[in-house]
Amino acid sequence: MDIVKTKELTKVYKGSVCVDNVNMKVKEKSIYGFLGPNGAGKSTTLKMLLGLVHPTGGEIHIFGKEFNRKNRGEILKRTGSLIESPSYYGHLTAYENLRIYTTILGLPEKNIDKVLSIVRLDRQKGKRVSAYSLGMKQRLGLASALLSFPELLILDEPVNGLDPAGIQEMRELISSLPQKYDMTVMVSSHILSEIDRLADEVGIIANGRIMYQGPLDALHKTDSSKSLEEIFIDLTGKEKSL
Amino acid sequence: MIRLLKCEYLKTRRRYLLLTVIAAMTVYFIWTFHGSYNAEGIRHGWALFLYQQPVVNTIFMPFFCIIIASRLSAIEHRGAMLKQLCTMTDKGRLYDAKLIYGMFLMSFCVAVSWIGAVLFGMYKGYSGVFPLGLYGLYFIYTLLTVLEIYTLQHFLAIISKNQSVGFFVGITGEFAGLFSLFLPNIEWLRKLVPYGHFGQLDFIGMYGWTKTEHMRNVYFKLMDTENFVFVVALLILIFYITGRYIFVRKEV
Ligand SMILES: Nc1ncnc2c1ncn2[C@@H]1O[C@H](COP(=O)(O)OP(=O)(O)O)[C@@H](O)[C@H]1O
Ligand SMILES: [Mg+2]
Repeated sequence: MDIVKTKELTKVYKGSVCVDNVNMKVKEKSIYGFLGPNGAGKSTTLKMLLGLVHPTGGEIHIFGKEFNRKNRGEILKRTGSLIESPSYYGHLTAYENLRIYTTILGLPEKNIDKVLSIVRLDRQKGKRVSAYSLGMKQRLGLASALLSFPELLILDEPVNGLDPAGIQEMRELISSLPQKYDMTVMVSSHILSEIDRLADEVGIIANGRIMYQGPLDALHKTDSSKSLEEIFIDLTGKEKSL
Repeated sequence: MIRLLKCEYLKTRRRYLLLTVIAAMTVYFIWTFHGSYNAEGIRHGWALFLYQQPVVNTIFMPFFCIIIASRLSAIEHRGAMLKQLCTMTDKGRLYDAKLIYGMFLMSFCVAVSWIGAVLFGMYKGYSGVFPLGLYGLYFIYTLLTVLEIYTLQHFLAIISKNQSVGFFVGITGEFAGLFSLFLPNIEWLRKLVPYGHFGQLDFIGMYGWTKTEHMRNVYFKLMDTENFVFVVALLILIFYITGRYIFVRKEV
């Protein structure tokens, strides 16, 4: 079953088309890599899947249900997300930040320690978040997305700005989620190498349009004389020169 | 909603919000009760307070509203929290929860200022019977005006990342409000500017004050309060409904 499916999803900002008829399919318990250069429309697409941005046109189906005002709450209850920069209250500790979410969502407090140990922040949970490094804040963001152990996890550039070790750690974490917790993960990035070997399937977006969707190795086979990186640049650059 | 209100409390821990309120109230009391009280003043104490206090309220209360509304919303903007919260709860309910929490704090301020005024009067030994009915009216009217201003400041603070928008509108409004108090002839200005609605509480008029006689022959009279409650309730409703509507529609 497709956990996420969009039909001609479109967003227009003041006359400029930012997401252009996107048809996207995300399979259950897979990791879907959402790739595209900066400004391609990744965040806007993901925000529409979360109801933070209202589509100009098209349809969204999540868990087989149409995403509309009526179903929104129910769908979001089963979804966790980290959108763009991580959100946090700097004057509170990691534990206190997560306690606010468990209070809103009516989740047991024991989930807090569970997710903090998953993202390996359990030792620093008593520290104020304003004193955290960017990597730690990203991991806290991931922890809050995981808090309800959702069926669908939407991560927007979760490794952006991390050092190589941090990227590696985050990749390992993300890749373990589908098997361990039965999650479907969507993860976006503007750097191919962050996604390859992590994602089962990718969607490549440039200027709001999906240029390719499917497994990465199939993309590689389209032109074996070129590296994956070159194909990616070809795909996303072609659009730019038009 | 109870959960969301509890969250508001959890969020403001270590923000010294209560301390801010107490500090503000201390300044308010010093301002209100400083100065000398002669025998005449004490004789008319209960009425004189009601006569003077609207001006003090016009100076202080909008300022408290600005500070509290801005403090409650700034924490959301600073940590880019709105987008996260909006995936967890309904946007309109979030708007309401923050509004209710702020209104609760402001009501606390008004209640404390009222109790303080009564206790001070008793301590100073104002003569005559304590006019409970009038003070009850004063309390209700002051509270309504405070809630009216707060509803507006709450909207300005939560809608814009830039807190100086709320400050600017609030301070401008406050000056317009003060201005309207000292130009009581411009009736429409009084009615129009919410920040001056404390002046509508000027339901005690002072008559018979002269330079030589001072307050010897002064008497106080209840003024016509007109449709004040109606106007304020209507404005609260308008601010609330439009503010909430704009906030819910705005994409984060
Ligand atoms: N609120 C907005 N108003 C106007 N334009 C926007 C808005 N949000 C995004 N855009 C534009 O939409 C395009 C896609 O942005 P975004 O989805 O953030 O890209 P990405 O996440 O892939 O880097 C950009 O050109 C950006 O300028
Ligand atoms: Mg982005």
